[in-house]
Parts: sequence; structure tokens; C-alpha cells
Amino acid sequence: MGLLFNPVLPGFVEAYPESFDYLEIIPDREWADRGVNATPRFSALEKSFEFFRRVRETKPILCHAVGLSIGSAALFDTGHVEQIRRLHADLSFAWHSDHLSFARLPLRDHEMHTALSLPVPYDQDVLAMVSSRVRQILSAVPCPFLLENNVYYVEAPEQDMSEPEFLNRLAGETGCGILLDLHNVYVNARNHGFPAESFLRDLDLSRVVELHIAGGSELLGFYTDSHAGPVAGPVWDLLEQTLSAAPWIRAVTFEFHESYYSFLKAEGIRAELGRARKIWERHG
Amino acid sequence: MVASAGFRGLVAAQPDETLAGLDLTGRERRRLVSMARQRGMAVSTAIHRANRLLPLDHTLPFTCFLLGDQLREVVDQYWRENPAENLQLPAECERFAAFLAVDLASGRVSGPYLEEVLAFERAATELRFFTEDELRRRAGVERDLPPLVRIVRFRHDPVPLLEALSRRQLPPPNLQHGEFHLLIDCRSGEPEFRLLDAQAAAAVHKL
Repeated sequence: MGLLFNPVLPGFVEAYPESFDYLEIIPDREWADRGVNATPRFSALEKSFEFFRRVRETKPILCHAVGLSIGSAALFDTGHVEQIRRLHADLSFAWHSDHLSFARLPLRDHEMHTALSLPVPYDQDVLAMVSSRVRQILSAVPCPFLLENNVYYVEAPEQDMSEPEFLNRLAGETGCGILLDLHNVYVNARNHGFPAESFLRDLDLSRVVELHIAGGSELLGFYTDSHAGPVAGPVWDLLEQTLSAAPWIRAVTFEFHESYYSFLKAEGIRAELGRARKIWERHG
Repeated sequence: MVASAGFRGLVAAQPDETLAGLDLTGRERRRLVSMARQRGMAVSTAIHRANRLLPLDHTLPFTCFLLGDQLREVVDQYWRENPAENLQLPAECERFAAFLAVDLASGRVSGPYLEEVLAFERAATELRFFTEDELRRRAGVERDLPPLVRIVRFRHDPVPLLEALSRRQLPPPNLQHGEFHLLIDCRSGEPEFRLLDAQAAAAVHKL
């Protein structure tokens, strides 16, 4: 059972170390990135990394990046990969992950960001491009690499394959693992009207290494992946089903956005972690 | 299309003119038009704006509150000039604070408490996220003070001002006007606040 770190959590991490088994960090939130052409490009927050090193003395750290934008056709950011490699040398992750998506658009002299992970089209040429990049990442960073299924509020027509098929082929052809975000599956199923169970049935669960669980909220008639406090009720059912079908899964991470801490409070976080742990133990 | 509802509207309504000249396959063109016309695009845009606003609200909540009706125009301009997201909170706080400080100085943005509250939240964010060594190295640190200590100058009594803002309320109209110095001391690990008179503030600077 793990916890996705955010800026309001240092106190919780120090006060309740027994409530989680590992800490997952979003490295992009802990460094300033001056841009792909800047030297030096990254400056890390020393305070955060001193904290992570202290945590690392007793618990594993996992790395869950959001900044690679592996699906950007016009950009493969090897500098970002190199920064993850340096971080791995420092904190020795069991594995690292990012999203099967894109959020960065390189323009003539600057980048535009969507501030929202957009899914790649599940096409043959995109599979070839992402597979090549995954192989480069696997050879650059000496630990397993996972990609996370995405949330989408808009459907791209005329795709060559479904999302599960794309993930299965990507994992099969490259050796990367899958980070299965159950809340993302629930969000997509609810917004686009398909049973979440069908997604799980079509996905090769033998490739899934880690699960994410979270909650969401309503916006403009859609249900969104806002990480709004406690885990959404139906996600608990998906967690039961997934762990029952795939007891080899190695980690379950609870995510919430820091703006909901005053709602959750420490007791709420412990309750979510405790409930997930009970389900884990039933199927472990 | 995510960042600009206006551009998305053009793609939806006038795809041939709007996408003319772009190197797109037929499938890519059909996709963009289909996506521009889906309701989910408005959600994506709203999330884009929320995700860019949240770091500012997290680090500069009182400033954002005080901006009130001016906030939308300020962030729109800020995002136009800074289309790349900055995920690290203190870096994003600093970039926006510097942008806003220019607007305040030029009078494009105004408010009786904005300058002092922005200075206070800027200092508090730096003290929260940086180590003593980092603070020592950063430009603009008051060199005559220990790195973990700041004195923020207010033109209104900061106690009722900050108390009201912490309740997300506008400050009372009869706030005392004058020269106030609020000392923030993070040397113990937790911030301690103390109001200094002008003499004490000058003395601390001389230490």
C-alpha cells in the first residue's frame, strides 16, 4: 500500500509511517525545469529531496513522472529521461512510471503545455513511435518502467485499436509494465458509457505491476479525475475484482489532490489506506 | 484546442479555413473536427485552467482572493505570456508573483492590500519550500537577516488584514494605516510571526 506524495503530506508521512509501505513521488513537482535548451536545465528542491532521502532509509520510493509527454510526436525529451536516471541513482526506485499521453507541444522557440494529460490516438504508427521511446527509456534507466492508462473526455474517431489492445501490444512488444489507474477506467466508463469490467477483461493483467485508486468530482456534466478526496465507491469494487483476478500485482497507490487535505485530514487518508490494505490482504 | 476555446470554436465551425495550411492527413483532420465539436472539449479546457490556477491558489491564496474580479484577466494574460506549465510550486509562485508585481507597479492591476499581501505570501512560500542554503543563494534575499528570517513591510495593520483573509473575507474597512513590519522566523522549523515597530525592525536589520 502506497501513498502518492503531495506538498501537504510531509507531516503525515512522519506521523503515520505505519499506514503506508512505500511513497510514490511526482519528480516533476520537485524540480524547476528551465526548458530543454537551458543549462543547467533542472534545479531540484533540496528540502524535498532531503525529505525523500530520509524516507528512503526505511521505505521504498517509487517515481511517477508527469512531464515526459511520451506521446508528443514532435518531441522525445531525452533530457527528462536522463534526469529520471539521475534521480534513480539517488533514490533507487523499484520502478518508475509516466503516462501514456501527451501534454507538451514544442513550438518555434518555446513550448505550449495542455496542463492536462491527453491520450494518444491508438494507432499503429503511434504504437511504433511510443514503443521505440519505451525501449530507449528501458535502456537508459536501470529499473522497470510502467505506463499509465489515461483519462479522456473526448473520443478520437477512427482509431486502429482499443486502449486495452494498445496497452497489451505496447507491453508485449517492449517489456514495459502497465500502471493501471482504476479511477481512470471508472471515469472513462462513466463518461463514455461502457462497463469498466469490459476494459479490465480486455487488458492483459499479467502486465499490470501497480494500481492507482482515487476519487473524482462532477464538472460540466462530466465526472472528472480530480482526485477529490476519498476513493470513489465503484473503484473499491474494481480494486476487489482486479486483485482477485491478478494477485501478482505488486502495489496499490492512493492518490488525492492536496487541495482536498482539509476535507480528508490525516484520519481520512489512514482510512482509505486501511480499507485498501484489507482488500489487498484478502487477495494477497 | 484545449487551451483556447476560441480556436476550438473556429475548428468546429469553420474547419476548412481554420485548418488550412496545416500538414494533416485526412484522418487527422476528421479527428480534430470531431473532437472540437464534442462537449468533452469544454471539460478539458476547464481542467486545463483549473490545473494552471491550482498552484497559484495553493501558494498565493490571499493574493488570488484579493484580485477578485481582476483574477480572470490577470491569469489569462499570464498564461498567454507563459504557455508552458511550471509544476514546481515555488517556481510557479515566483514566476506569477514577478508578473503580477509588474502589473501592480504599472497600475494595470490595483488593490489597496495587494502589494503587501503578495510580498507576504511570496516570502512565506520561499520559507516553506527552500532550505537555508538555497535561501542564502537565492537572489533578493535580505542579506542582513538570517536566511530563514524575513521582515515584510505592510501599509495596513497585518493582524486584522491576514486574519480576515484567512477566513476568505475582505479586510474590515477601518484597517489602521501606517508603517508595520511583520517578522517571519522559520529557524525553529515552524513559522513564527511577530509584529515589530519601526525601531525594532531597523535594529533587526542592523544585527
